[in-house]
This record gives sequence, structure tokens and C-alpha cells, in this order.
Amino acid sequence: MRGILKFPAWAWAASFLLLRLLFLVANNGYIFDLDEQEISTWLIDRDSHNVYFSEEFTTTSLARELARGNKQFLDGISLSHGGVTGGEYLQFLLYAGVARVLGDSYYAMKSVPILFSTLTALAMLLLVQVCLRPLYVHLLGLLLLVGFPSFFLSGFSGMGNHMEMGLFLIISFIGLIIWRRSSNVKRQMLGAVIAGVVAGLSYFYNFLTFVYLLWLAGFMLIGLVQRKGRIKWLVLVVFPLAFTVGYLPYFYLSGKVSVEMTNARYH
Amino acid sequence: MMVSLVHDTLDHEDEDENDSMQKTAAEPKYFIGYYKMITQMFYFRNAFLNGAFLLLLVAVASAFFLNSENENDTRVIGWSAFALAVFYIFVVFLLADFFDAPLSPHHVKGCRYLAPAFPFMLLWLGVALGQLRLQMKKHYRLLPVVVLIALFALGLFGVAPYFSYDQPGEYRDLPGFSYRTLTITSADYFLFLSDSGEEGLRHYLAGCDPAYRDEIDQEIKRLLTDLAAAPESDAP
Repeated sequence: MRGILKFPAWAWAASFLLLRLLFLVANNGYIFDLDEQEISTWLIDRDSHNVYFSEEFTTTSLARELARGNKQFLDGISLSHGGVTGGEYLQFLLYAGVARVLGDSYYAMKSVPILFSTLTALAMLLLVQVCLRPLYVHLLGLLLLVGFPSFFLSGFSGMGNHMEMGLFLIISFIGLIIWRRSSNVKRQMLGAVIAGVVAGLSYFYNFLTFVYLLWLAGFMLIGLVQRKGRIKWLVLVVFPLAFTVGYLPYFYLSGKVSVEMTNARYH
Repeated sequence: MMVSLVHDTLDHEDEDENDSMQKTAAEPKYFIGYYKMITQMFYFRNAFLNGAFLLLLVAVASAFFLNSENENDTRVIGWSAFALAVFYIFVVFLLADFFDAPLSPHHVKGCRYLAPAFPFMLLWLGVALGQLRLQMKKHYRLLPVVVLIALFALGLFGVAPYFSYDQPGEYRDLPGFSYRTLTITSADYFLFLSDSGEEGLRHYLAGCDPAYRDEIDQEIKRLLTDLAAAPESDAP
């Protein structure tokens, strides 16, 4: 009992996972009994429901194709809004791996976003456990459990919502805290490199993270001003370089995708 | 999109399949496509339209909070950030569309742009509540606990509609919830890729789930007959 109290982060993350699994099991019933009318309505009036409709359907279908062994679409297709985001690529690969092991099923597909969201919650709780008081672990755990309804839902739709990019951001934030709290210059730069590379990857993963990047820039500038003299300004060179290194896959993939095809996606 | 794709493929029906594939492969490729930059601007605009500026306020406050070395300095910031957090959560719950809120019918569309910040927002809310608990006078220390319980109950209330006890899985509008009936969209992509029209669809259907093959087959037939009846000028 004392062990559980000592690591409340694990307990909160486990309850987080359990609630989501319960949701999956509770809602499994309807998947197999959609009638043709509904299917055709969904297919034709895609945008009548919400913006994810076409996006998630296409991307997840492609992921299933990949799991079956069709690799042709990976060569030259833009997988989301005309731009190349790494999120789709990574999730395709992850789902294909899971589907090879567990088979092509609903649970296999949903396991990827659930895994990501649980890891995000766990990383957040561990970060709080290390940096702040234990009181905050319980507060955050309770808030994470149901959170906002939109937060709850976002953990289930892998393609489109990109809940999982929070995981990148938290790792990047840990690097930033290493940079902020250490007095050793080498360790400061190590923290800045971790933060930069992971932030670049997160921006490659999805462009939505730019909000966090603005936050990150503000955090660094405030830290530089407040700890004037104790922190090297070299970080202003190191961090952008590390960010570019993390963002390199974008240049590689965007070179492979032609403009013609990205426009064809939208006509 | 689907209709126009099918139409395009009907136009190119006479061409050899290999020729069209080679044409696709010979298209110019760019190191950084111009279209991608436009895409990013689209994201920025929508993110700010959906309330990212509020997030930025919270972010700056939290940056001050986390940068400070003395916890006593953070009292004012803690209070202001608590107000911001409460206001922000109010906005998020409105966007969450409990009761068909008129504010945003596309609730997930709105919240999507805040998705990377959700864990940080919850952390910030927890920190603000903890600060209140530590700094308040004796008689008022129950207030943050009440606020926390109220928020938890509100979250449960928001999530509860997704669990149905008499008809499991009744909640159908959850985006990306089912992936079993998506094959026609994948067929779109097959058309888009192979440019081989009905033959390509047949080839695709050979590999798809047998339970849905007939339905999709009917759907394709219906689409093809509709397109044959439609005038050519309708193509975008």
C-alpha cells in the first residue's frame, strides 16, 4: 500500500488507461451493425459531421492498406492537408506494426492513440512528481482522468487530433527544465539540445505545436533575463540549430511530394 | 472529391495504365513545396481563431511562474493565472459542446488546435489550485477542494454521454471511432493512385473485407451510373 502511495503517478496513469479501455469496450457494439444508408450518408456528406471525418477515414484506411502490405501510396502522396506532417507517417508505421501482431482490428487501431495519450499523461505526472510537490501529482491526476470532454475524446482519434504530440512537448519541456536549473554550462547546452531536437520533431509531427513553440521562446527569454550572468547566451545559437536538426525529416519528405499531387488532394 | 476523382479516371479510360503511372512519376518535385507553407499559415490562422491567444496569456503567466526561484513571488501570478485558467476552462467547456452549444458546432475542430496544450493547461490548473490551497487562510482552504471536485464532476458529466448503459455504442458521431466501413475512401485513394478506373476498384475489392464487398460494389455501381448520366461540364 505504501508503495502505491509512493508512486501515485503510476496509479493515476493506470486509472487513466483503464477508463479509456472501458470506453472502448462499452462502445464496441455498434461497429458491426451500420446499415448502408448510414454508410452512404457518411461518405457523401463528409463535412456535415466534423472536420476529421474525411481526414481520419482516409488516413486510417491507408494505414490498413499498409498493414496488408500495400506500400505504393507511401512514395508520393501527401497524407494530410497538402503538407507533410510526420504524425501520419509515424502512426501508419506504428499501426502497421501493431496490426501485424494483433491482427487488423478495431482495438489494434485504437491502441496507438491510447498508448500515446497514456504515455503523455504518465510523462506529465512524472514531471510533476520530480519538479513539484506530491500534492500537485494528485491534483493533476484527478484532472487528467476525465479532464475536459474534448481532451477525453481526443485521445481516441489517432489521425487528425494528434493528442500524442503532447508527449513530444513534455520531453522537450524536461530538456528545458534541465537547461534552466543546472549551473554547469555543458549540462545547460545538453538540455537546450534535447529541447530543440524534440521541439523540431514535434513541429514536424504536427504544425499545431507552434503555439507551444511560442511559449518555449517566451520561457527561454524570461529565463535568460532573470538568470542574467548565470546562463550562457550561447543557447540562442544552439537551440535553433538543434531545432533544425529535429525538423530535417520535413525537408526530406516534402522533397518527395510533388505540388501537383498535393493540389489534387483538394480539388 | 470522390466524385471528381471517379470522373477524372473515366476521362482517362482510353489511355494505357502504365503511361499514366509514368506521367505521375515524371512530375516535377520540389525541395520545399510552396503549398506546404500555405498549409502552415492555414494552421496558424485557425489556431488563433480558436482561442490560441488565450493560451498564450496562460503560457506567459506559467513561464513567469516556472522561471521564478522564490515561491513567494508567485502569489500575484498565481492568482492572475487562476483567473485565466478558470476563464480558459470555461471557454473550453463551451467548445466541448455539451448541450448542442451554438458557440461552436464543430467542437472537436475547435479544440483540436489546443490539443498540444491540454496537458499543460491541466497542470497549470492543478498548480493554481494547489497555490490557492497553500496560500489561503484557514477558513477558506476548502474552497479549492470544492472547485476541484466541481471540475471533476463537470468532466464526468461531459464524458458520461459517451457511455450508454442500455444501448452500448450509441454515441456514433465520435470522429474516427469506427474504421471498419472506410473502405470506399480507401478506394478513392486507390483510384487516385492507380488511375485505372473501375478495374482498379475491382482489384482493390479483391483484397478488402468480404463482409462489405457487396455493399461497396453496389455503391460503386451507383456512382458510376450517376456519373455516366451527369454532363461533363459539372466536373470541377
